[in-house]
Amino acid sequence: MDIKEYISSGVIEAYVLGMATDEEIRELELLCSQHPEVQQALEEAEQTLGNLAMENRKQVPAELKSTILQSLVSEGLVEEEKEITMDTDVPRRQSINWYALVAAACVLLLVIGAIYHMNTVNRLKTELSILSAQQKSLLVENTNFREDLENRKQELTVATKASVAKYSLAGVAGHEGSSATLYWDQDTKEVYLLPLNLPALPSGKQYQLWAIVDGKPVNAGVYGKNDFSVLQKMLSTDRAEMFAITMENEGGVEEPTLDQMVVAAKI
Amino acid sequence: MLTQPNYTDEELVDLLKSKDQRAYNYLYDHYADALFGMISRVIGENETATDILQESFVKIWRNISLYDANKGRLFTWMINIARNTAIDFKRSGQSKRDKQTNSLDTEVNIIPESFTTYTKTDHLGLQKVMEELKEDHRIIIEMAYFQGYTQDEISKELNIPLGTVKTRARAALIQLRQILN
Repeated sequence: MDIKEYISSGVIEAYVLGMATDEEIRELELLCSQHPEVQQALEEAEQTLGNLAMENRKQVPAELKSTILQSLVSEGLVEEEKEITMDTDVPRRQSINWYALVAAACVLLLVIGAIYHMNTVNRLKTELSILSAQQKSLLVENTNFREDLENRKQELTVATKASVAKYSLAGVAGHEGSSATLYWDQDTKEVYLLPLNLPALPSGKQYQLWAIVDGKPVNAGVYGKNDFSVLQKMLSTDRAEMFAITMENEGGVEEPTLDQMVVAAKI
Repeated sequence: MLTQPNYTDEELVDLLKSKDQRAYNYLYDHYADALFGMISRVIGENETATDILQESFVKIWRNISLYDANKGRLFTWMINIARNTAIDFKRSGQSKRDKQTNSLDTEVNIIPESFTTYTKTDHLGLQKVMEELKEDHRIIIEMAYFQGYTQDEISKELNIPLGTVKTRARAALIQLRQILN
């Protein structure tokens, strides 16, 4: 076959224009593999039509790119990817995001934990101080009760002893509402005072007990308790015609200030 | 488009076969406009042109195993898929219309009708190129390439021998190459 004649026959152009017969196509494909000049003529003809197609470009509506991609994806012809470009970066960036996510979660948990911890500590501190104050006041109360109980016990012991006589000191003129109780042990000569109903003392003052012996006042002791419901042992007295209580300067005095007498009782 | 690498046909075919989306992005960005121009040129101004473009892309992926790099460039193969899909669409529509009109018109002169359809829609660049061609050459390219006529049909329509159809096709492409260069 004369290749030059074949090339100039136009069968190659008929082929690229899409109007060659099946027989012509088979012959052309065979000759292309055997004769480079046929191959070259074919490529030139295709190039010309390719240039024509590029000359004839028409802009596609913008939204079509994703529409067509979706149809290719839904037909299983293309696998969907998150990123259009820089594909190799995608997994790495994702893994960084994972670390960041985990770290952020850790920090968040830590902060939440710390806040919870602080709250708990503060709550427990408050509770502890309340409990500690409660305990202190209970302890004080307990001590008071115990003291009180001791006083009553002593009072009861003194008051119920067979040898003890009980005397009521009544208020003198100007102190009619006042009174005090005195216990006097006839065997031991011990004297106890319970100044339950004496008026409250101004500061710097104390009550002092006097025994009147042969018409003269003898010091029988200063009452030193704050709580007038507490029995106090005074100075022992062998004999007396009378007992009286005066309000004196703290610590007591040698001679009673008579106009400061509050209560008295004859024996 | 600038960030994309320039793939060879072999690399593109591999990417296509592996369903890699990069192949789609590359082919679309580089060639969708050319395929769309070809489709519009064949069927005329028609809203179904986008459907045919979509169908062409589906066909490219479906038939990629049939593509033989030894027989030509991937771009030529793709353009021909778009062109043939558009011609098939136009033929199926025309045959419906023909069935309706044939009862009145026994002899339908399809060449002038076809010409009026596409001359209105010509891309300006292509229109200019086509106008520079000799009339004999232009008709051959129109009928064969854009309308899908066979040699026999052209031979009969133009009342010229088959050999003349081929030699005019060759002359047409030579002149076309000169114009495009």
